Amino acid sequence: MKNRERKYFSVYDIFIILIAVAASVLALLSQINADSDALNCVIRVKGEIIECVELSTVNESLLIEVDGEFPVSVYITDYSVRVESASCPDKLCEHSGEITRSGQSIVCLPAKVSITLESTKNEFDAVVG
Amino acid sequence: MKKLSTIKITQTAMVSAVALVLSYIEMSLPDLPFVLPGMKLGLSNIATMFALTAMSLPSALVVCIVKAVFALLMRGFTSFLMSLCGGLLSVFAMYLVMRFKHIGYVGVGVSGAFCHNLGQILVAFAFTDSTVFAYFSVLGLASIVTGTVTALAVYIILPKVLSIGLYDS
Repeated sequence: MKNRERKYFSVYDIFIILIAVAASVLALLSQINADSDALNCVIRVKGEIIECVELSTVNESLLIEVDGEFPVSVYITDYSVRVESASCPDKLCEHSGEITRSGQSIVCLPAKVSITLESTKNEFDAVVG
Repeated sequence: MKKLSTIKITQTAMVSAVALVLSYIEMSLPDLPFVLPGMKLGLSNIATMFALTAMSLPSALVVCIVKAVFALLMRGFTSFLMSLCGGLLSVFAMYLVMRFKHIGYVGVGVSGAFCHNLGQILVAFAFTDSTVFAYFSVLGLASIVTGTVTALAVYIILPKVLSIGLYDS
């Protein structure tokens, strides 16, 4: 029988263990890089997407003018989004402050503009159940 | 192709039965507090590795399929696919590694446990997205421990069973 002479542990086993460790670490690293920068700033007017900016591609800051009944200017940095100025009467969106996390949004109702941060990777923070 | 003898069928059936009992015991164990959900000891891998070392590749594959059908009956279709992919990948990996005579039981057991996790994660990936690979890193490292335990069990059991003479084909 071919297995009679097989040892319990041989030096070659260390290579197999090292391969397993390397593959595990590689899997972890690939996900750490992919997960951290997956935020998209999606700007919609009347429900239609007019602009989609990936935050990680933004250099320092970016100002987007959204035209319409009430023009809105959106200030985007590499980690946050806020409404710089809005021409609507109530200015609620301006006062919303900045959003930084996936799922958060700013809505300007008079201008019918909604700005949401969406993650391409995870739709949810966590799933319980 | 060799003739399928009664003794081979019986041997495979017996090891399959052991695999099912081990699966069942493992299902009944409570989840340990420090491990992630779905992380298991892989007790039934002892049976597949035993089938591979004491018998043959086809026998080990049959044990895997029986295990997968058991998972289908007990836990549903997703578990069936995970068990099947993990099991088959693990058996083929162990079979390949066992071609090399100088690799010890630990090497065989670890590669089996690792590829079992890999197969399961690939199924999970097909159902969800690539975030499961982050989970895989933990499972992969855990498989080194579970694979060593499996190897130890087979290493202890194998000579005793072979000494009975039943499996010395």
